[in-house]
Amino acid sequence: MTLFVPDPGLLSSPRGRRFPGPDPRPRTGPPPASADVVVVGGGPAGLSVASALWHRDVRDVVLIDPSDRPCGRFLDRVDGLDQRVLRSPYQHHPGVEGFRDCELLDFARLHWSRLTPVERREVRMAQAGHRSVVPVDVFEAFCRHVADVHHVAERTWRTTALSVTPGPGSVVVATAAGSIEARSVVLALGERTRPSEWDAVPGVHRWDGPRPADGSVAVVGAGLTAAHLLAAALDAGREAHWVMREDAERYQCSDVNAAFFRAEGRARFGSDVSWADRRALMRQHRRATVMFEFRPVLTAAERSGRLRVHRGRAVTGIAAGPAVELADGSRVGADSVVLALGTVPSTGADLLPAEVVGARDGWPDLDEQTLSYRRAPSVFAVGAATGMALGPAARNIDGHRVGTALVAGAIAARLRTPVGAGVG
Amino acid sequence: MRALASAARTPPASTDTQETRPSPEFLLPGVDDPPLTEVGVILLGFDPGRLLAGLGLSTLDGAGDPGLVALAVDRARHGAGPVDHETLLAAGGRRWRAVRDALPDDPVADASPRAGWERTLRALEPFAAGPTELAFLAACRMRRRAVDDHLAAG
Repeated sequence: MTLFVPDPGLLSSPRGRRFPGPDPRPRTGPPPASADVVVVGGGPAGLSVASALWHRDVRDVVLIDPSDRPCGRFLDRVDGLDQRVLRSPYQHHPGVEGFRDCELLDFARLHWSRLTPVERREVRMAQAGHRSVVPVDVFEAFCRHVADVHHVAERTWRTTALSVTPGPGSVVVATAAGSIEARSVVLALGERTRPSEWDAVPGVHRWDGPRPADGSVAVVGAGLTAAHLLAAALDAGREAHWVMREDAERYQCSDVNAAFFRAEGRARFGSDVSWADRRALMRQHRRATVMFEFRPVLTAAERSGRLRVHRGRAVTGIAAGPAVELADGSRVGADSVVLALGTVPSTGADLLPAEVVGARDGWPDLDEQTLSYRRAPSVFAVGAATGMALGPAARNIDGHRVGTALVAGAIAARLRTPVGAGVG
Repeated sequence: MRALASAARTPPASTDTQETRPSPEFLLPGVDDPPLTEVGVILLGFDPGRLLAGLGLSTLDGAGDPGLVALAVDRARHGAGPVDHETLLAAGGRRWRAVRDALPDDPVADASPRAGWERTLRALEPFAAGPTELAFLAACRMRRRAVDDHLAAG
């Protein structure tokens, strides 16, 4: 039997190599006053939907994003954790299926001379159908390629969306640089850090913000973000505590059961399945997990005493100091506390009127067939917000491809319908 | 226990025990083959139009890297490159028609595309101005019937 042994070496790709190719940058200044489609958000989901629209001959598209490069916020978050590889497999990547575009795996192989031996091995593992990881450098270069070939960057304006107001025949997107009237709007807003009541406690930091680089640290959370924070702290020789509510950490290849990347898995979230059943499934399958590759590092650190793991301890409070207060009455003190409590999908509530979002249990009210907001059919969602329609893989890059194909098809059909002929 | 990640190209030495049961291990292509071989295997999977466009681009810009030329063709197909895709196709078609009958036959059927690729590269080296043209010529040569059919179909 051939066994896979997690190899921490897979986590150590170089970062910051400049792969050759175009370096598409967004435009600045006021965006056009009107467009067929406005996409809000230039992360992997926004890039995918803009690419899918291009292939469907929908070319009058404006993409709004505050970042200075394709998938900039996504990459900034990754770099903030000093994360060198993505656990999305090579087969999952931004872009469009069905148009014979260059895919991520071939893209990596076409840059063979620029890959390290470890990265080449990852490619071979992916080719063999085994678990693999994707270097962030490769992923970033691929995003640039996808943005370039689909003319996304030249239709991207670097600004921030302020509001989205659906009207009878159009939708107005207000941005910091001007307003755009569109026939359809796609919200690709991704996820935001889960808010916490302890954010303001001195010495407490959020995982995606600035945090001390030295001194002892207590990391709260059981997922991959926590593992990255801990590995970096241990690597720097810092004393580390890991606090988790769960009884044990869960080491997995993927954060989502593979079935949910397939049609049969998505069908478990079909419109004929009750909301309660979908919620239960989501709770069961959207749980904190850690890439297998971290296990040797974290296990060895715990054995050596450099890492203390506090399992099965719910946090009841964080006192100034700071000190994490646990349900059993004990306290974990450290020079700093970093909260890695996960993320929640952005529902659109920051942009749309609340009555349009129709949020239920933190999820927007979407039509499962088109991923449009039921109360504003000209506004669509892609990415993490579509979880209750597409299942837990909606927040993953592969889920973006499924969702964006649905949305691009629906928008292309709408644009073929004359304005005023039933388009709401 | 053996890590898949370190699966070797050569199976482990046989022992009496192993001879009596099939090895569960399998071979993956090496990671230290020349980059041109890795790119070549990908080119062999391209449709004839892309091969001809790549050949066309390599004749217009003889230097460069075959992998980057393949991506430049992808850009041209989407109307994003500096050169029009139809122009590349026409240039590639002209070059292929001009050279194809002079290329040596390749009578040896090889089950390994990598071995076949490397042999074809060696045979065609005198016909190419640089590594990029050589790569696309070799791919067109190894997929000659499909390329010729594509050109014949107009």
